[in-house]
Amino acid sequence: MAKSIWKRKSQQNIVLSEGIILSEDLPAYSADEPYSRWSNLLVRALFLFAIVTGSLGGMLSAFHISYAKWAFFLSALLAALYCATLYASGWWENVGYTLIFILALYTGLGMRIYISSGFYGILNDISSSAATFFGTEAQVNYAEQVENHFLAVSVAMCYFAIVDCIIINGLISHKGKYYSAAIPSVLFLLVPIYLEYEPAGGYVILFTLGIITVYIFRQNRYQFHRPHPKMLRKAAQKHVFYGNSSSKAAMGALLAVALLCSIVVSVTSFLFPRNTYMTDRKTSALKLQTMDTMENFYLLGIMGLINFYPTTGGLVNGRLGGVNSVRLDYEPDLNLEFVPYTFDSIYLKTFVGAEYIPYENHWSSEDKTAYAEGWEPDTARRLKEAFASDQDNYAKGLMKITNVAAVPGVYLPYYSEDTYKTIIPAAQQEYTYYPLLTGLPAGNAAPISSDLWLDVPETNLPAIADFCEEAGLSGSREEIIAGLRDYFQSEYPYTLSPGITPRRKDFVNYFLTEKHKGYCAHYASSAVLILRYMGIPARYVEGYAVDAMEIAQDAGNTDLSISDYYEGASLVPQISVVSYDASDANAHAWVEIYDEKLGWYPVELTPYRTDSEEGRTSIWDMFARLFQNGQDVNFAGTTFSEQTTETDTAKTGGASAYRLIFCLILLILVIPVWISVRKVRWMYHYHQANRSEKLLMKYQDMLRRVHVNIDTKNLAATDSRIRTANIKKELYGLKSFEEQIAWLVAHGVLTGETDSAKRLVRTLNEAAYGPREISAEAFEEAWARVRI
Amino acid sequence: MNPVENKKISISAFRLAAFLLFYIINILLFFAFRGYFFLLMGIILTLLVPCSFYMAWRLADSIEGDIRVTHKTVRPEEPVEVIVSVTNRSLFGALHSTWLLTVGNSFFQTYSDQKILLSIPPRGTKRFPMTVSMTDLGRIVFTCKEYILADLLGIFLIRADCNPEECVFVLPKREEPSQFSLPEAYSGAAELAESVRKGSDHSEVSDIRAYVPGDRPRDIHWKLSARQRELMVKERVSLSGSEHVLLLDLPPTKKKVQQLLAEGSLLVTEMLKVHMTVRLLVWNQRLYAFDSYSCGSDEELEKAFCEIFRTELSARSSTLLQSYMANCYPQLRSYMCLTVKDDTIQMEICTNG
Repeated sequence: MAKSIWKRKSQQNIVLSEGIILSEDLPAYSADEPYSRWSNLLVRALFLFAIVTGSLGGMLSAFHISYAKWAFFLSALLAALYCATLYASGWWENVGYTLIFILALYTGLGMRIYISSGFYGILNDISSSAATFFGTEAQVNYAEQVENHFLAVSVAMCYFAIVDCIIINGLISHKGKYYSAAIPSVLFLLVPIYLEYEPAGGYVILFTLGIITVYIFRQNRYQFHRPHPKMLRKAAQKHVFYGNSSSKAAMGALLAVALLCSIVVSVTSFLFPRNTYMTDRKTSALKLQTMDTMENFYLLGIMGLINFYPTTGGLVNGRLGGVNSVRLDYEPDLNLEFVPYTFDSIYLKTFVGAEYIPYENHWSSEDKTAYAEGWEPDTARRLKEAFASDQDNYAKGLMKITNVAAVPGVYLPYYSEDTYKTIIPAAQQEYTYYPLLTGLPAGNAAPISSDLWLDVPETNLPAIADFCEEAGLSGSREEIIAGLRDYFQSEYPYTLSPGITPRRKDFVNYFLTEKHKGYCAHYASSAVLILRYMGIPARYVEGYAVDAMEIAQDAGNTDLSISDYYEGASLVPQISVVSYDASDANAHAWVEIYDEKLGWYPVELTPYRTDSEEGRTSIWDMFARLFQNGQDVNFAGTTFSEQTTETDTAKTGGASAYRLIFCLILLILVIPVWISVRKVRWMYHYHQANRSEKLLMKYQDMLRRVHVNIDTKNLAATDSRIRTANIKKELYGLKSFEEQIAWLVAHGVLTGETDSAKRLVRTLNEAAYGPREISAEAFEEAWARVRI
Repeated sequence: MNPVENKKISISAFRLAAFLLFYIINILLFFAFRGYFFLLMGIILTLLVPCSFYMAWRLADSIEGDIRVTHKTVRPEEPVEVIVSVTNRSLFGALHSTWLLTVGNSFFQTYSDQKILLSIPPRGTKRFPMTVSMTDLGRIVFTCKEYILADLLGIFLIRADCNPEECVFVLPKREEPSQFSLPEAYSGAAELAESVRKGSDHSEVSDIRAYVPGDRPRDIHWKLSARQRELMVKERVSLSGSEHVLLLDLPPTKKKVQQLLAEGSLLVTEMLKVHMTVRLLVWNQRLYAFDSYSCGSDEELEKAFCEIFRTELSARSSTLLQSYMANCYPQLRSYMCLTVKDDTIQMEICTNG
């Protein structure tokens, strides 16, 4: 039934107007361009060719990979021509696609050794460039089965050109979806551009030509092939007729864009050469932020972007290597109430790692001895005794810790006997502590199990030995610690996105020998083993570290009595009891070293953060920075040990030029948008209005533009402006329609008979003051008059 | 080059937004990657806008639209080819242009707008043929009101007026016999006309003049022509008196008007067959007078109908028309009138005044 209705509809004559019908089914395509169909397909093939060669060839040219370019171009051209012909007719589209798929599959299987080897060859070349860019010694390498690298890459490129042509042709499809073609194609070029390699000028011309022409054809709804008769009929029933597309016009557009692209690329390359630009350019903020993540992706693939377990600031009771990127939430984990007593960091110990398990990548504290010695309160007891006898040099403090959202456990300040006070979530504990301020307590510390605290797994020995030799660690304990700290600072930059440790690799070895980047857990773990190797008893500790500066800035003063919280000596003036929220940004790992007199004490070996690691910010922060006039952005979440160094004023100064350009571009973009919004608003109101309102709106619009129609062309610019201003002043001074129309007639803006001017005045008066909407005829007549 | 006056520019908000999106993405990529490639792309995109606009602006000055029809007069349902052509003299082409056409019947004042979407080749002509047929009588007008040229990016739309116009007259069919027989009052005139046709010349010679093509050979004054060595013809005055007046009393309904005109045409054709000369009268509301057309031949009849269709349909009540006839033609005693009464077409012999 439905089909018969459709059939009847499709057989209905197309009525142009009352009594005028199209006697044929649809207007026939004109015969003035008999070759139009095939030449249109040629145009389509050309821009397909340009996109494919521009993107693929551009990528390889950026990395200076050598291959048989003529073969690549030839195969791309043939594939593009073939793909374009798929749109010649409906049946051929289906059959042709099937054929090319079979051919591609067959060729792929037949030449798989060359193709895969060529592909690996390209990857190896890119990998080599990437390793240079990331500055890493770890490099991904794939085995090439074919010895002749040039041949394998050439074959692979020919094959990829064919496959890319099929994909891009399908994506562009009938409707010329330029974004579908642009997005995957530009990805090929983003790889070298990210790694700071630029494609050659010729490929830039090809790629831009391809994308812009697809865009142009799409925006002009250019029909590369005859539209479906149903579509034509539907349009014709709405009185819209499609003429056949002129391939000459399409070819002309293609040539015009090609010419423009060639001129721009040539002139720009001459005036501002690529090499000069690459030498002068600054690394973008986005790159700085994503470099580590991209490096992890480069080394480990998609797995390198995943965190394998949840952590607090990247730490979770000694587990290592499963964190790709530390994501901080800055929400309070612990609330601390205490009296500040030092300019140094205040540490809260919650986990002690005694034994490092290589390859399993974690610190173990399951051993009873290790646990007992790790938490032993001997130093606290000695400081307590010292405080009892000498309150001028020793002190006693009380710290109230509320567990807001931290894992249950002990959060022990240095030094405290309250090792049994576990804080569950939403609970509070009071820890009494005896800080070490100036002098050491009398006597020696309790002895330790040397085998346990000096143990270095054999697996790690070679890497650590090499490291110690490279770092030149020797001398006294203090010299070794200072040397290690300096070496880490200079050679092992800090990052919050270190990437996971690959499977079958040891965490410490990978960090020391390949990755060379990490966060506190990497430094603390490696430092413990290095110090042990150097004969210094050391252990790995996790917890929270609160910087004195952060306390000064962020902590709130309370009305609580200082004497209830602190007694004895202090290194800072006692002002009040403070309340401070420690978040996951305060989570930290550090090293404890054993001293025969003092016992275990914390040592900070995590380097300061450098400019290359400016915290984790969003793209909006990057834009915010553009408008901060050289001021450094205060990124939350930096711990004491992870502070930035001084702002690089030269860098921020360099951003000012970009800022200016950005503002100018924004200004240029805002004006047309503003005009368009005004126009759209006007049109919306116009379509909402009744006839009277429409006429008045149109009339007002005419008055606004009337100065354009009065001849000011022959006047100088200043005279023209004065004339325009005078015209507006004169016209807007007239208070009735009669006067205005008379003025318009007198100035030649409105022409015609006096009667029609009178009718217009009458209609305008009716529209403005009449009780009813004006008639359609009156509206039509008046509208025609005011439409300049 | 003849620059088009009154070019108007408008901006396609949607396409502008699309281009801005394209542009902004490129800017963002430039800031994100600081790539030389995006710098070049940005410059190209920036320059593309003025270049594209310039090309369209120049093109607007260089194109000419035209409309042609294959036949000037047709009968209902006869096909006629209408060709819209665009000639471009410039080097720049346009991928997209819209030609706004008005097609309609000027007699019945029924119009509708059409849009033709064409791409225009550089230095070439683009043709768009349409084969149409008409079912209504009248004057079918094909007018190109304006064209809209889109620039390459489709952002700027340049509108310009153009005024090629072509018309086709759809005349009544002539094959069928008239349903009306000639009234008795006119039979004598018909017989006289018939005898004239057979050779009995009851007319008087009023003047002798030089021959003009179209004159009947029988009117050639052979003797005088031989003397003067130039063809001379005798100007005759018919004894059958003045022409027979046929008033077409057009009703307001379109269907009836067409039926009446068709009948009128057939009736006049039959009268012409017996060599009667007919004067057609049609009321013209615009002039407030009768349009009068003398029909002595089929060609004149066609011309008369063409002239009738040139004006708008003016319907008046029969009573009013009769009084107008009395006022306009006081010396006329009687006339034939084709009118609609009781929803049927009738022919009446009306006594004037």
